Amino acid sequence: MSDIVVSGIGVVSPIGNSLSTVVENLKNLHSGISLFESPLLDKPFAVGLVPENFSERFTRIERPFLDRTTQLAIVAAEEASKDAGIDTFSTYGERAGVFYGTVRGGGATEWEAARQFYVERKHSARPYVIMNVMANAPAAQISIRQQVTGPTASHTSACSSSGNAIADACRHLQCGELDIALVGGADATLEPGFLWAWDGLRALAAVDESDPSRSCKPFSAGRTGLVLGEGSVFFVLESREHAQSRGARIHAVIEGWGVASDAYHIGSPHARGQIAAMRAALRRADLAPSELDYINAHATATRGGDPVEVSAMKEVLGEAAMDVPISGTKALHGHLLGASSAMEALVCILGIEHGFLPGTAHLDDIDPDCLGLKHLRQTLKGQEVRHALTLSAGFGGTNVALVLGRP
Amino acid sequence: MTTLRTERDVIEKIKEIVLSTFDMDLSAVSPDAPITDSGLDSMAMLDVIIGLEDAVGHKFSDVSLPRPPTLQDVAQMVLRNVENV
Repeated sequence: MSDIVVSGIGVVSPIGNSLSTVVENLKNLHSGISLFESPLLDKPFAVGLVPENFSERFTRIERPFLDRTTQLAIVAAEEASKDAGIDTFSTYGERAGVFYGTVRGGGATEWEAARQFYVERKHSARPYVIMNVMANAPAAQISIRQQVTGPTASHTSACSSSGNAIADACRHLQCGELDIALVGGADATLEPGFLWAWDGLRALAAVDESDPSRSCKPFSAGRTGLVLGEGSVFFVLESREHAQSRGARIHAVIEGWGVASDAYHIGSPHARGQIAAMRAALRRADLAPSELDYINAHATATRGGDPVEVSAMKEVLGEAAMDVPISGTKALHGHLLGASSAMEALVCILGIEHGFLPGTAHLDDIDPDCLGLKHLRQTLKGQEVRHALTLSAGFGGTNVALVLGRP
Repeated sequence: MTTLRTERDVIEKIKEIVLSTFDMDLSAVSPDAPITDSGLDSMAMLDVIIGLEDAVGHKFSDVSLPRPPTLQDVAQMVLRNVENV
């Protein structure tokens, strides 16, 4: 079986829109979380915003068709291709694909259209509304712009969406159906209506009054919930032979992937699905749990979610539970929803490439229910990171684990 | 509410909407040249028609146009709809 390698990376995130910035912010545990306020909301929220308007990169004739989610995906995918040294995928014909994950689709467009219908009673919707809100719009726009003429697949499995996209791409590459794939996820949902809806779940973090950038506190006794973020992360994946034949630089290897469902509850996780996903990924990577040098946990910082994940990790790691360093980096970048799996796979890849393990920020006081693992509170530098695992657990109980390794 | 009485009124309104929405200047486009030649696709043209409906204050009952439409074709379609109200 040929190795599947990562030969290109593009990132748009609350902790940076370039790999070097993301590395620095991860190393320094510099949070990208800030305050979101709106006259429509009765309180401020902590969010992971990307402080850049990408509209100027597109012509006025293009913009109506490009929801912010789509814009972020286009930008990250183009960066990934550029990093991989690929100008166009047209020469690959049907042997190149796009695999994309999202939770919400074009949320900003949909909320605005809903406002026009319910509040303004506008007689007609703009013609581009449907083409913006369909969940596959970003993947289709990437296919059109980069001339990817093989399969274009859009996955939606809540927080594990881009993990599912990565796993799907790996299967296509492994069986030889494709030579190369553009793979990632995106979501840009920081609209007042979306925050209001999430707040109804009682799952969002309270704003840390001393410092809003500290509002997301995975594994901490003081955690109050998750912090929504926006962003997009894309990778170029291909077989090692293919990458070598075209002289591409290899960032990392995707050594294993595992997908499993809890089959339990639409909004509450169960350890069994998470355990199954992690074990499947390790099996495919042909690794014992003790051979992992790092785990990037899903760690949303909800009261209920973190202890379930800790129990799943303890079960999988067994005797190695206190040996394998683990952290949750959503404390820094927030929960990127459709881009979450890809973002956290990126954290693993950067740790492997640059020899560091980011700590869990704001973890001054570990919740007793989250004990029993080797929690990193500070960044460890000068580390040899051979194998790293990342877990994503989506609402509805779809879990994806990925194992990343050195080139 | 805008009153559009003549073909010239409508064409000027179209140019105004296209400039404000898409930042495209159609001032040099001939009334009998296909609009697609200027870079506006059918979806963008539909958006312009909705803008014209907003301008006159009612929804057009028949927006059928020849393919590819010219500025004159769109203007005539608008005038037909305005006259039928």
